[in-house]
Amino acid sequence: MWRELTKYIPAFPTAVLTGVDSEGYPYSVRCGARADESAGRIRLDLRGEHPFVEGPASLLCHSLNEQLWDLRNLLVRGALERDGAGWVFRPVRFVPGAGLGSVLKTFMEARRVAAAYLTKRGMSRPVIPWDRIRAAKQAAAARADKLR
Amino acid sequence: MFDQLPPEVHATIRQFRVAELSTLAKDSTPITWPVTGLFQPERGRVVFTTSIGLPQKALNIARNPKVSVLYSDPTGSGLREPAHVLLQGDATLSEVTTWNDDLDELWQLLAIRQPASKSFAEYRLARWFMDWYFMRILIYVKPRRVAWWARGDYAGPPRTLGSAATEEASRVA
Repeated sequence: MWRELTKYIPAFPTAVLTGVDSEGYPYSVRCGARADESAGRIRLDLRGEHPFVEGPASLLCHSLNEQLWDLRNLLVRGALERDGAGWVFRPVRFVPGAGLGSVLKTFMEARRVAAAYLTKRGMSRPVIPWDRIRAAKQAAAARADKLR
Repeated sequence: MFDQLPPEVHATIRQFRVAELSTLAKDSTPITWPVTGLFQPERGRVVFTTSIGLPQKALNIARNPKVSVLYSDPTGSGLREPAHVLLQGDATLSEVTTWNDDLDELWQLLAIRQPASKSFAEYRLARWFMDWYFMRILIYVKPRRVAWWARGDYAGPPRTLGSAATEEASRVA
């Protein structure tokens, strides 16, 4: 896990820290994150006061380009804890996302999961309305200024 | 609720290309992934979708509807120093679907904002390989609380609309 954390986290200027508030709702903010392997923690540059409770939390690092492409993301599962200096993140598991592995492998796995999802529920494979989807994409061109 | 929010909040939600959607796993860990969605202020909601090939967000919501949505990456939005916005609320799910009015609108939005995705439906081989991508569950989020930070500056307390926890944070700060 630490090999991935020290390799990938520095590539993202900031991360999305998500904990849970006192009513059990997820609560997210953007902050700086630095892997500190010697301490077994991810140090947070967290500004302001936020209603986190100690416990399960995650850190998302993600990026995209201006055309919503070149997507890269990863998630670190762990826990938010308080130490003398404030909040600190104890990582438990690294979860790779888009852009960090084989696209082919990801898509093959998604095909398998979709098939299993349908089988488990006794559903037949839906027919995709390709003509409608293509028509929608063509119709979008006429509304591009509104959609952009 | 959205009719009570200032224009800067609407601009962020409408223009940001991605939001960070958090759902709760079985062990209560909040799991956050970037998503693209529709802003439907007239219906008081934001709408996301997930493919049944990547169903975990929907499975989490079916177990526990509590979610949050953070808008904090302005890439591609064209906005200069936009507010960052956090929605907290409860999500509901559709059945598995391949077409409805919301998907029509979403595919149009993506055709303009993510032009590379047009190829998913264009070629026969891509259609065979990617059909799972178009088998969708819609995620409807009606916020019960909204917090926003002007210019994405988290150092100060957010402005809020809605109930308890974020307002408590504002008093603490």
